[in-house]
Parts: sequence; C-alpha cells; structure tokens
Amino acid sequence: MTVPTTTVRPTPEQVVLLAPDRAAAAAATAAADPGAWSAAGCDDEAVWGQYIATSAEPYEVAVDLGGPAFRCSCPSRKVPCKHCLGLLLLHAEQRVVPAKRLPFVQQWMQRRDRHPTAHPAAEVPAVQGAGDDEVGVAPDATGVRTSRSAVGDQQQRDQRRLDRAERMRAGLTELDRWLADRVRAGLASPELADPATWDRLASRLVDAQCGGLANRVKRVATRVGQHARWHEDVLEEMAVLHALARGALRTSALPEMLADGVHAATGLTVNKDDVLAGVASTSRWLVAGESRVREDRITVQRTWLCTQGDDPASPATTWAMVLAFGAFGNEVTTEHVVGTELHADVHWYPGATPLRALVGRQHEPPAPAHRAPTPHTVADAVAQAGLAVAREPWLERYPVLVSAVLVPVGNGRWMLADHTGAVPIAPGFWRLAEVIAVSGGQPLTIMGEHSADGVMPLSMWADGVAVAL
Amino acid sequence: MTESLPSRQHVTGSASVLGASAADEWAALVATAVLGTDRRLPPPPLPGWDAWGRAADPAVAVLDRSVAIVAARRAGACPVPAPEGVLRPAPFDDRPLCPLPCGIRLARILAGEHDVLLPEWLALVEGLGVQLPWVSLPTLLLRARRNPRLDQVVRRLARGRAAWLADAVPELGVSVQGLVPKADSPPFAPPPRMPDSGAVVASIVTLFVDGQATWATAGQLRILTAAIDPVWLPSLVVELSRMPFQAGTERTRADVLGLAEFRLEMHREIDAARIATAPSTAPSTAPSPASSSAHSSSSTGEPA
Repeated sequence: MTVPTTTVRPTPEQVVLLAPDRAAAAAATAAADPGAWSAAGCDDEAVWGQYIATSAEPYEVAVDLGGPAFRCSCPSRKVPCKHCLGLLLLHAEQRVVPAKRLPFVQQWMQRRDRHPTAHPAAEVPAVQGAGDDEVGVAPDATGVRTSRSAVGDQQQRDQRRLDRAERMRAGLTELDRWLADRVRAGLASPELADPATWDRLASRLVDAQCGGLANRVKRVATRVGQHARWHEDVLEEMAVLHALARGALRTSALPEMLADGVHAATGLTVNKDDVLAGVASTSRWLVAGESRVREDRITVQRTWLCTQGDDPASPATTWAMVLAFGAFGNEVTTEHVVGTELHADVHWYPGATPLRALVGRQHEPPAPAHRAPTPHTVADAVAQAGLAVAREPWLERYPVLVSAVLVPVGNGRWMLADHTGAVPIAPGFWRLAEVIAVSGGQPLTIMGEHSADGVMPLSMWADGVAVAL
Repeated sequence: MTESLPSRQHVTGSASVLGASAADEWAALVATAVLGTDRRLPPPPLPGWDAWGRAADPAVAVLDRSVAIVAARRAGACPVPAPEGVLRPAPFDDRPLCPLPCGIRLARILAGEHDVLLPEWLALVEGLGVQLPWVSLPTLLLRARRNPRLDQVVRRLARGRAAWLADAVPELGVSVQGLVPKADSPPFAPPPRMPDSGAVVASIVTLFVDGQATWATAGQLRILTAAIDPVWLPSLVVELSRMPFQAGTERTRADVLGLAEFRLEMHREIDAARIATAPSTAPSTAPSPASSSAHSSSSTGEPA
C-alpha cells in the first residue's frame, strides 16, 4: 500500500514547461477555459475533469500530480496533450475545486498505486503507464521536462513509423517505375486501355498507404479514350504523378511547406488535434460552395469557405476547404449550408497552398448571409489559381469567385466571360440551363472550382441569395 | 461522340500563351510518349526547355520534361479573349421577384414531393403576379415537353424568358415557339374547389376512424386533399395529427397528413407574399384565393 503524498500545486509557468511543443502550449491556454470543462475536481494527489469537445463524448482527463502522469481519452499523440495541460493550468490558477474522485479517476489512480513504478519516490527512471493513453513525465530539478514516457511504446511507434515509411518508399518507387515503363512501351499500348492495369497499380498504392496517389491513378484511368487526344491528358497526369513520386521520395530535401504539400497529396494524414492546435484565423466565413464527388465507395464532400478583406473595391479573398467523407451506406452530411455565414476559427492543414482546413470554435451560430460576396474578374481569379498551382503543381482544383456572363462557344460548350477574358465551364456540369435561366444573359456571381478542365460552378448568387448547384 | 470533345490544351488555349516553343516541345513529347521511347527516342529539348530531361533513361527524361511543360502551362494559364455578343439578354421583366419560400416550395414539388400540387402552385403564383423562380424554369420546360397544356401555362408565366432560354440552350431540347395542345386535352389547372369541403374533410376523418383508409385508398384521399378548400386544411391537419395509431391506416395517415401540411404551408407562403407585395394604399383590396375561399366557407359555417 502506498502512502498518499501531498503535492505542491504547480505554477502556470511550470505547466507551460511541460508542453511537448509551442503549439500544444498555445492550445492549452485555449483549453483552460472553465466553460469547456465539466465535473472538474481535484484532491491532494490528482486533478481531473471532462473536457467538452466537438466529439459526441467528452474527453476524460486526469493528471496524477505526484508523477506527474497524464491520462486523456482524446486521440492526440502528444503527451501531455492540450487537455491535460489546460486542466493543469486551471488547477494552477486555483479554478478547480476539491471534489470526490470520478470513477474513471479512481480506477486509474488505483492502477497507478498498484504499479511498482507509479511514483517518482520509487526512483524508477521510466514509467510504463497502466493505460494505453497514459504516460508519465517528470520535471527535473531545473524545471526542464524529462520524458519518462514508455520507452517501449515509443519504440513501437517509431517502428510503425519506419515500417510505414518503408512501405511508402517501396510504393512510390514502384509507381515511378510503372510510369516510366508506360512511357517506354508507349501510351498507344493496348495495356493502357485495360482498366485492370490501372486498378492493380492503385491497389498497390493503397497497400503502400499512398491513398492520395491511388485516387489520382484511378482518376487518370478514366481519361483513357475520353476523346481523340486523350494521350495528352494522360501524359499530363502521368507527369504530375511522376513529380509527386519523385518529390515524396525526397521530402527531406524540400522546403518544409512544400514537403507538407507533397505529404498531403500522397495521402499522409495529419492528426486533427495537431491541426486544431495550430494558429486559428478567426473571421466571418461565408459558406460559398459545396461539391460532392464519388470516389470508389466513398463520397468526398468539399465545402468551400471564404472571407474577404475590408477593401470594398477589390477585397482579397481567403479560402478554406473543409473535407468530409461518407462511406457507402453512410452518406456524408452537410454541416455547413451554402449561403450561410460562420463566425468561427479556421485552422489550416500545413502545405504550400493552405486550402484544406478544419473549423474550430464557432463564436456565433451560423446565420444566412445577407449579401453576395464581392467577385473578382476572370483574369484575377485565374491568376490566383495559377499562383496556387505554381506553388503546388499537383493541385487539382482551386476556388474562384467571378462575376461573368455565360457565353456559348459551340458544340455544347460554354464559357464564363467578362471584359478580362473567358474560361471554359468544365465538362460534366449538368445544371448549365439553370444558371443561364437565372442569369438572363446578364453577369452573374458564380463560385466554382478551377481545374485544368475549366471551371466547375458550385453556386451562384441571384439577387443576393445563394443558390447551390 | 467522344470525338467532339476537345482536349484540355485546346479548351484552355493556354499553350498558345506560352509561345510556340512550349507547344512544339509538348507536341514532340506527346508523339514520343504515344509511340514509346523503345521505338522512338525523344528529340533534344528546344531552347528554354533544356534545363530538364537530363535523366539517362529516355522514358524518365520524357516525364521530367513533361512535368516542366505541364507545371508551366497550368500555372501560367490565362483566360482566352472573351467572345462578344453571342448571347442576347433575356427580355426585361418588370414583375417582382418570386419570394424565396415560394421558389423553394416549387423546387420541392418539382423534385417529386407532392407534385399533385404543381397546377395549384402555378395558379397561385400567376395570381400573385410575380416572376417565376428562374432556377426552376428549365425543369418546368422539360416537364412540359410532353404536356402542351403545362407548356402553355409555363410560357404564360415566364413571358419571354421561356422562348429565350429555349433558343439560348438548344441542348435543352425545348421548342422555341412552344407546343400546341390538342383541342380536347384537359387544361393544366388545379382541381375545382369542392363546395362541400367540410363534409369531405369529415368523410376523410371518418374513414380513418373506421380503419377503412388503407393504403389502397391513399391515391383517392390524396386527390381529395388536393381539391378541398384550403380553409379546411387546418382542420384536416389537426384531426389527422391527433388520430390514434392504427397499424392498418398509419401509412395512409402519414401520407395524407404530409400532403395537407405541405399544401397548407404553400398557401401560407403565398398569402404572406401577397401581403408583402400588395400596394400599401390598399392592403386589403386583393384577397387571396385562400382568403376568398375562407370568406365563402365562413358563410357556410365554420369547420367542425
């Protein structure tokens, strides 16, 4: 049986020193909001609480002050995570009142008491936590944190990371070799017209955990035989795949932002908590458009948010793209309705062209926007898209917001035109007649995705009211 | 069919902006890639494009050089000069815009939700004197291709914009002049209001109480619900809402109740729009069909 020890309450400065990185320290400050906690309590040995997150269930957070050791049910891999740090900050500021332990805290502390290495008094250098999500960190005499985290866990994580990197390397090398083989044999080779050829490659890329590249390969396959000059389209996409494969094999030699972009394009995921721990952009975001694409058995929904600067003549437009996925039989839900406005924090994923983002805290409930956003000229919009593509040549689409008239160019094709030029409307847009009917031949504010095929309209504004397309 | 689709390069016209060297370089690379580097080695890069393609493997060199061209072309894409004066503007329409809730209601009807109410919606909006919600015009015209009477109604409501749209978008497959209905074809109009709507509502409720409103009778009950005087709709909604659960009639009850609620909301939206668009000098001089019906019904007695 262990003798309870009375611990000294840490100061906020000491708590901040426990943070694994600067982002976590910043996020901890935000998490130290008493309104975000329920059932928070403390005693001489521990402090605990339930953090009300955006997920269905609150995160169960507990900190053993004797270790200190941390337990949190959030998915973050950081130890201590921002919730533990936020709770400790609250405790340091004496905003956690003494209370009876919650059941999960009681069980966890009992397990720790039984554990021979639970307390630093035992003078054991490293602690293997009782739970998977528990890791101990002991401040040393100088106040600099010293990791006592589970060495075994860390080794396993490192090993998993190495295994994945090796699989990805093998997949990328194979992809690049496959591309060269196709160019060697010729794009006119009948093998290329066989969908199984592409499917096999995509499957191998999935096995290599390069999901992003696998999806691209499947999209390239659909271009084979699409029109008389399909070889050009396919060579174009193969060249981009080649660049991505080569880039992904040498990310250490790339600038950090570019490497992040390559990682995202190849399919490496970033932890949501890490993204949310980044610096937020707080603004009034207009839900400008939404697109849904069926990829294999998954529906990918892109919701485009935009915010504009103060200059009414030519406001700079900042974009953010929120991705949502719906598996077969579990359709994706529309969280943000086109035409509404959010006053919210937006956190971007890392990359040379920050587009993909998460919506963090919403400061006000969404409300219908009462006016259309200020559009750009066609030339400006295309130039912005070009700039983004120059930063990340594999970028497949970029949002544009233009005021333009629709102009037929024959053969069933239409363009969006203004005094600065015209861009084609992408093939496959099937609600053209509705846009033309609303426009009445007059300029119309249209938001769409600009790609190598043209602009795919996603929404339009008729008399200030957004219409999703 | 696929022959008619132009390639990306042709569509965007961006290669021309990059200059002839890029176009020539790209054409040479495509020709080599189509044949395969086993059969044909890539030509030496043109001036300005010789920084890439130094790989020893000709296939890799083709891919490297292609990346340079593709990146330059995509990043440097420019709009093409705008064609001028190809699409003439639609005829001017001085009527007020269709209120947003009414437009949303029409979109729901056209999407298949209680489409038995389409004739009534069109008649109510015609009485309101507002524009059609233009976003639904193509769907209405497409639906009217097999119904000349509906075509007549839509063109009357859309005024010149229906013919303008049909002319502007020939792919829609809609006649510019409009369709000529047969003389004996029935008009596309809402069913005549039943003078004894109160009794009809009572009959419908009795059918449910007696458990005789099975799914087989649902079609007939829907027609009746669509034809009763709107002033009786609240009574019908209340009676059906408080009806106890009966396994044999529940599906029919939900269906008829949904229609009654939908129609009631439709009339409320039109009434609200009428109040909003009525001249401020004479707000009560243009009673709605619903309110006029209410007057006529109230003279015959309140709903039970």
